[in-house]
Order: sequence, then structure tokens, then C-alpha cells
Amino acid sequence: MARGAHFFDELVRDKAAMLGLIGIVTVVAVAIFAPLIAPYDPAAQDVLARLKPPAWAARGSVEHLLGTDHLGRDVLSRLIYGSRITLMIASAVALFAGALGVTIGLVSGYLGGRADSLLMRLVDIQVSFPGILLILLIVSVVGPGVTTLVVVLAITNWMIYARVVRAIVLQSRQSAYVEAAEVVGCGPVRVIWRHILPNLVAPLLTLAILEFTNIVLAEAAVSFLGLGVQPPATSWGLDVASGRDYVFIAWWLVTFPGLCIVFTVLSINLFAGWLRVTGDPQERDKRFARGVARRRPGTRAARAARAAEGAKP
Amino acid sequence: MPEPTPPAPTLAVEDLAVEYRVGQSGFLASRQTFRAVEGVTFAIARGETLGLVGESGSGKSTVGRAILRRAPLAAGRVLLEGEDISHARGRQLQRLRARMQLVLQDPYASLNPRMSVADIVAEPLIVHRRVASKAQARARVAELLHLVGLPEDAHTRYPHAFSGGQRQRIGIARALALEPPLIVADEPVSALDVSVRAQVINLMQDLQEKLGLSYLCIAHDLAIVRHISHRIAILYAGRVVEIAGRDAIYDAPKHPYTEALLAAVPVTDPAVQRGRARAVPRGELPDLTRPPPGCRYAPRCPRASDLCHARQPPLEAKAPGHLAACWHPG
Repeated sequence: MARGAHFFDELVRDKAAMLGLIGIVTVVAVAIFAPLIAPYDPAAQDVLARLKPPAWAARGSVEHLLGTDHLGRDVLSRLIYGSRITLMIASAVALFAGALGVTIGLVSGYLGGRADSLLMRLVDIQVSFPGILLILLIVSVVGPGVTTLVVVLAITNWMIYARVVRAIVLQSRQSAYVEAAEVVGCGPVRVIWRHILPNLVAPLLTLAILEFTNIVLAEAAVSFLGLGVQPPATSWGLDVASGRDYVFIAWWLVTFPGLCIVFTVLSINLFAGWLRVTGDPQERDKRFARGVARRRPGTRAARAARAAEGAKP
Repeated sequence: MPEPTPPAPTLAVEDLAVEYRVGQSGFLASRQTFRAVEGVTFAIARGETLGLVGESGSGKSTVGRAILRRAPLAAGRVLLEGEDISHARGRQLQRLRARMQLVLQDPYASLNPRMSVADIVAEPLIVHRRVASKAQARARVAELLHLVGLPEDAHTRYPHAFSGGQRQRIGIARALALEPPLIVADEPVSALDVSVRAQVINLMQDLQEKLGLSYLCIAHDLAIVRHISHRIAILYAGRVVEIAGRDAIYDAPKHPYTEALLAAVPVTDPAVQRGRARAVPRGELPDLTRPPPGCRYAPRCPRASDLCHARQPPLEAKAPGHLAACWHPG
């Protein structure tokens, strides 16, 4: 328990990471409590109030804080409800694709030899096969839906994880400390768990975050084709895609869902940066030392920090 | 009372050979193999250190790896305290690991940077279930750290906070955790600063005296080998060319390769050093995928005769306890 408190202490000191965590918590809370927060039903149409701009613009009204779309649906409510499906799909896909890719990469890199060549050829085939074609194929057979979408996006996005993981496993298998662990008598499970997997945390975090945005956009593309999220359900990606036609007369339709995506990804990124440093003892010591230096008066780091703060109004 | 049998040596290696495959196996080309090590035989008594010396590519690390059963044995036997371990596999091999340990060359690479010193040193204890509780593990780790001369507070820190010499001490503590009778030290100090080499070597010697360890010390630095070893084996192109007590090797080498090695060690007196005849062997190691029929050193040897090129000299006693593989011993 003391360990947990210690981590929290470190987190509070790191402002960027704390902001990131607050951002993530906010987005997740909004998704969970959507029915309580949203002022309107996201699917309710009001043809008389279509394409209303945000409240602060000319012609805007406080009834629709972020305006309405071409069918008169409240943009804010759609964003609040859209966060549910977007977060659900993106994190489910990142999880499934990641799990599949990491497993295959681990097996491939650790076993090597024939298993490795077989699995990597599988990756090559999957990579060279156009993803959208596969999606069309599966969806037209199974029928559209959120579950189908998650499965399909996971199937078309696991390869990059497999490749990255395999490369790192190959590299760390050669390392002297893995040999030392094997000589000590660690079995393969312990070697992978204690000595190889920790090396994967930082690159996988980075990769998963990059992929998160990709998935949000891929989901938008598939939904735009009518094969993903089915109206009246909504997602940020779908809103961006359908707002595209109105970008010159109603800028708010693409801007706000876009900003939501940016905000979410940025929050995750900030927090992940902290997580990455925390997972690396050497980086963590450096951060700790910088923190101490900043708080101690008279050191160069403290003066630099004060100067930086003074420069800001 | 029955007559007590003489104790088996800690390690006995008999006619050891290690084969590696080279190149790709295609549909048409058959796989080529070469014997990195062949016909290696020696024994290490309890509390003894055998220095294994050879140039790069001579197979000295391969011998060490084969003893630890990390390189495939093509022929021969390895006996640990009289028990044949050449065919141990799986669980049995894993249990054997507790009785032979390795100290690696590069202390910067051989410690997992993400594990604390306590976790690193405790790992063998946990894997082999030698400790029942965390408190017990901590006590044993503290004992080990004290034994290798590391500060009390070392256990919570991570490897990056330590110097090379200290890291090697951590590596030694890890190797000692299970109290193995045999430790294979693969160039234990060659990655360290010259100033801390002596410290680590002296530590290894102290521990040997205290715990009755046997070392197989692989090295290319003859000064260090001379300091730590009781006996020395010289390896050339995968074969032992000479094996004898330390002083016999240094004072009366029998094999021309050993002579050349010793001649390559500089003398600290510049006047003497300038006056010495330099016997630098020409040429390189033979291609082991197609080993020559005779003595492997013959192409570089100043004393080589027709016999040397035709037939492999056997490793036999040239003096009491002094074996050399040479048709024309010095």
C-alpha cells in the first residue's frame, strides 16, 4: 500500500502526467455518465433548428451549446454519447489486436526457427492484403455491428504489434542478463515474464497510443461506408466523417468531435509518458533527482525553474 | 569400516566436442557443420581453479557453455561431482543449474536494468525454492551482499547506480546464492577497469578459500590467469594443446603455441622488453569446417615437420602432471 502512495506522490509532482490522468478520467466519466450529462437525446432530430452554430457565435443560442448538425441534432449530446462507442471500440481493438500481436510476436521471437518463419509469413500475407477489402468481406457476411467492428479492426491491426514485439524479443534474448537468468535456472515462463516483457512496456505504450488514433479514424472510415457504427448510434469518428460535407458552412460539425479525439489522445499520451519513465528505474532516478534539484534553493536547476516561471505571466 | 573412495573431482570433462551448424540448409545444399571444440579432457578438484586460455575463436567460451549445458554436446561426457550430466534435460537440468553457476564477462549487460539488486540476487533462491518467505530471502540477500563486500543499502537500488566493479560483485553474489560447488567465470574481469580487476580477482580468491569453490576461469589475459589459477589449460583451435600447473606452464612451456603466447606478454622493464626475441606466429586459426589432418598449429609453428602436418599429436605427459600435444615439445 505504501508503494501505491509513493507512486501517487510522484504522479502529483509531475504536472503534465497529472493533467493527462485528469483528462482520461474526465473522458471515461463522461462516457459512463452520458445519460445524466447529455442535455438532449443524441438521435432526436429537430428540422427547424438545423445547422445552428455554437452558442457564442452569431445566430447561436444557449439551447444548443455546441450547435446542431444537418438534422438538427445537438452536437454536444452527440459528443457525449459518441465517447462511449469511440472509447469502447478503440480500447477493445487496442486490447485485442495488442494481445494477439504480442502473443504471436513473443512466440515467434522466443521460439525462432520454423515457428518464427511461419508466423512472420502469416504477418506478411496479412499486411499485404488490403485491410478495407477484408473488412468489407467480413462485414458483408456477418453483418455490421459494434462487435463485428471490433473483431474486424483487431484482425486488420495486430501485425504491427507482432513485428515490434518480435524485434524486441529477438534483441533481448541475446542480452547477457537473459542468459544469466537461464543459467540461474529460470524457466521460459519466468524468463519471458521477468526479463523480456518489461522491455516491451515502453514501445508498446507508444505504439498502442499511435494505434488508438488510427483505430478511431479507421472506425470512422468504416462507419462512413455504412459498415460500422449504425445510426442512430454515434461515434466521434462517424461525426467527423458525416460532418465533412458541411465543413464550409458548418465548421463546428467536424471541429468538436475532432477536438475530442485530440484531447483524449493527448491525455493518454501525457500519462503514458509518465508511465514509461516510471517503468524504467534509471529514468525514474533521473526524474527524481531533477525534482529534488528544483526544490532545493540556490541550485542551477532551481534558478532555471524560477526563471521559467517568472517569464510566464 | 569400508575403505573411503577418493572424492570425485568437482568437474570432470572427458573428450568433449561441440558441433555447430553453419550456413543455411537449403533444398539442395546439405548443412555444413564444424567442430568448435574437440577432444577436450580435464578435471577440476574441489577448491581448485583451472585457467582456460586461448585466443579469440579458440573455443574457450564454448567449452564453458558446454559444461553449463548451454551448447550442444556432440561427443564426450561432463561429470559434475561424479554425476554424468551430459544428457540431463528439462527439470533435471534445471535442478542441476543450482550446482554450477556462471559469472559473465560484461557486468553492464548481465544485470537486468529493471530489477533491483535484491531481486537479482534473490532470483536463484526463488527459482529453486530455497527461501520460504520474503523476510528469509531478504536475510539471505543481505548475507550475500555482505559476503561480496557491497554496502548494506545496496539491495533496494538498481544496477545503474553501481560501478563496473560493484556490478561484477552483484553478479558474483547472484552466482553464489545457491552455494554451487562450481563456478564458470567467463572473462570475469576483462570488461573492468584495470584498477578494479585486482579487487574482483582477490574477492574471487577469498570466496574460494571460504567456501571451497572450484572455478573454471576463462580468460585471455595471462597475468590474471597466472594470479588466480592453480592449473592452466591452453586451448588452440578447439583443442587443448597444453595443460599443467601454473608455474610449469609459465616457467617451462612445452608447446610452441604456449611459448608464443608467453612471449607476447610484455615485460615491465623496457630494456629487457626491447632485447627480447619476438616470436609472433604468422597466419591465423585454421578453418574448422575443414580442419587440417595433422596438428592444428602446424601451419604457424616454427618447429613444424612433416609428421606435424600428417598426424595429430596426442595430449600426453611430457613431465609429471604436465600434458602437451606436440611432436616436438620444447
